[in-house]
Amino acid sequence: MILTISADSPVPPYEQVRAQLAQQIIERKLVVGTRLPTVRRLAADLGLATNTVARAYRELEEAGLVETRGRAGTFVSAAGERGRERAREAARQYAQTVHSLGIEPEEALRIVQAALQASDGHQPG
Amino acid sequence: MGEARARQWLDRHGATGRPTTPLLQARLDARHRSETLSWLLMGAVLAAFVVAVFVVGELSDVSGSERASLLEPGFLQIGIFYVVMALAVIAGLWLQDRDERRIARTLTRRVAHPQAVRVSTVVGRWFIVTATVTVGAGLLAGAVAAMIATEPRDRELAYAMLAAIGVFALLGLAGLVRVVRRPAIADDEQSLGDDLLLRREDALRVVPPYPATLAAVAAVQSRSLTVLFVFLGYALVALIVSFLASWAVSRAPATRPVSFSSEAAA
Repeated sequence: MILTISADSPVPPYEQVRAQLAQQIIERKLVVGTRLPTVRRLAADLGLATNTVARAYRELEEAGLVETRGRAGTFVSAAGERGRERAREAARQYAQTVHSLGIEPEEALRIVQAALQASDGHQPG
Repeated sequence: MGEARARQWLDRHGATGRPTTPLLQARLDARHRSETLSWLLMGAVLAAFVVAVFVVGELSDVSGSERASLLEPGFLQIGIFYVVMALAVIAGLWLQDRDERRIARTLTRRVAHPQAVRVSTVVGRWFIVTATVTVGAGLLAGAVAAMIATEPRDRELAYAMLAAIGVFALLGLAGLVRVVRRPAIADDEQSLGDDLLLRREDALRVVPPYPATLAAVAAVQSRSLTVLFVFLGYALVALIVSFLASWAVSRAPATRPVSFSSEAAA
């Protein structure tokens, strides 16, 4: 499990760091409670400015994926895990509802997909 | 030359089938230059010492036998020489850091661990064992020798031993901070694993078994059999551990970066 930064990539370095960390947290490769490297350390290892890594960490924190515990460092947050648990619970309730209404699974999935697309359309930015 | 050095390094680490890379070659070349500088510095200091003794002898009324006795390896002379050797190793590491920063600037792709890596993981368990034995057991041996010594000469040796280990511990710490803090230099997963191995090899370089050799000299110079055995026992154990550590680290399998399941801090 590694973080890669490519100088040739059109993606800004802070976004490369943020996206890879976010993906590893969401895929649970970085489990809840894992301590991330310090901003200074990661910046040195990747040959980046500390501000670049600090920005990536700030955005991950705003997304609830990591939390800063003072001088102890930055840790993978449980908030993301709780969010997924809520989503799973909502999915269970939806499954019960569509089952009680006699809706076919394929149609139920199409309804969810349409709702997700509509939701994406309303996302800012 | 770099290719052959890298090939040899990979073979030693059990990765015979793995092709060498320009990055690994450049890093091993930097280590070779660093070690050469250390040896040159040590040689220069030794030569300067010998020349100084002869010059002082020529300019003063020191007789031939007295001059020869100045060159005899006493506890103080060996201690000073080892301190110089330790400083030479740190100077070598400084040169290596400079070379590696230059190598890092040429990389268009850099990789790093996405999680914090503990210092104990970076330096490896062999470094911890070696440092504990070399410094910890050395201080214990010095303290025990100071307590049981009945002759003033033996007590002086014990205090000198404690002071020498203190100096080596400080020099070792200075070197260790450099090794731990330097950035990872890697452009893929494999080279990140190599970086960890190289760092462990570097860490062992900053805790050489010099105090053990000093203890052996102190043992020879001591006047009590008990003090002799304390110093000799420490010297033997420290040398054996140091040898085993060097052997184990230089042959540790080249693997991908360590698994961090155990690194997750609660």
